[in-house]
Amino acid sequence: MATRKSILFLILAVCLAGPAAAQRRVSASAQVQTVMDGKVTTVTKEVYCSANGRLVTVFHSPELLYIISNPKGEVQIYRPSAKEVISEVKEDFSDRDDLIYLFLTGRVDDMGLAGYGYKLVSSKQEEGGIIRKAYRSDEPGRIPRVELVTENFLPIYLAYIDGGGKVVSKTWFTQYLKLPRFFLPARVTNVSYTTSRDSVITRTTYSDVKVDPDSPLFDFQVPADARLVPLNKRK
Amino acid sequence: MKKILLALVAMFAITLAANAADYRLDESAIDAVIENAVAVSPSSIMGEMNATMHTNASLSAGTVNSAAAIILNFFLGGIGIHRHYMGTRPWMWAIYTVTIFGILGVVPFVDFIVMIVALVEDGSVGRYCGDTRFIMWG
Repeated sequence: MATRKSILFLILAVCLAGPAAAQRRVSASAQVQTVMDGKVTTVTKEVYCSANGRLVTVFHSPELLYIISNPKGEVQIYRPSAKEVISEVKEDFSDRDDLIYLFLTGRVDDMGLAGYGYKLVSSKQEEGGIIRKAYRSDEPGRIPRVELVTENFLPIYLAYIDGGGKVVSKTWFTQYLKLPRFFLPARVTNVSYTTSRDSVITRTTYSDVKVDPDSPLFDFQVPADARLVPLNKRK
Repeated sequence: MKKILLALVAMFAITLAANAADYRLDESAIDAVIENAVAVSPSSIMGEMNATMHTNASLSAGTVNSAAAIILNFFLGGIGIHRHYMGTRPWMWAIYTVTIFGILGVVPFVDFIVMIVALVEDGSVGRYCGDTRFIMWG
């Protein structure tokens, strides 16, 4: 009798976990600071991410801007100040690039690198739950090598390395937040090495992270009276 | 002089932060770099480019200073400033920012390389002027 109850409970838990995960929504505020040559610029945004892949990003500075996207690369950019909207379908711009979406959907084992043509070539385990993975891509237009380091299965470091072995970009994922059934780094710091002596630092700090909040912005739709702006095509 | 000193401090801090076991970051060093930097608004930077900002796809190569475009990418590529200088959609800075500074810094870096190549092959970055695509070299 106890065994039958346990099995029924397990089945129920599995059934509920599936649809519950699919309905998960996460919102967060983010501040992006970029430092170069002694100057820092700051951009603030709010992100509304649904596990079904719909992502709404609201920029408050330097201007109010809404970007709606999905994993298929369908993007709408709405500028309320001009009441105009740009709509495009482009493989290059997809939710797979959004950090919150990657962590919400648990796709952090390779940080979406497979989607960009990178293949795992080696994996080395070190002390303290550290795993160092090396990826490689031979596709044109890609930085050929990537190193991803995880600690207790969470990414902590990602580096792009050019064909000459020079590191061109490093990203650190720190100050992890423990949220219902997933983790999110509250701080992402990137250093891009433009030359052997100079670099640009970009730091994204997430705050006010909420899981399954009640906000209409998750379902934001571009107003019907927004003017559709055609894209200029390069000749 | 102050700028040179700030730049030297920043480079030293970054080196310290990055070399001590590459995958560990000294957050306090990065905090110091940010705190010591002078705050500027992205719109003020873009405002300075108003005199040369174009959204017309037929922009001719001669109206854009190629060296300036490359320098802008060099320094502010993470938020797509160089794209605005060369002429693109008004919201391009948002795409660079929302894609985690151009897919973790990769897109601005490749932008930099292809602009150098264009400068060598064509004598200017004109081939990328007015390009409205996120991946201008795609």
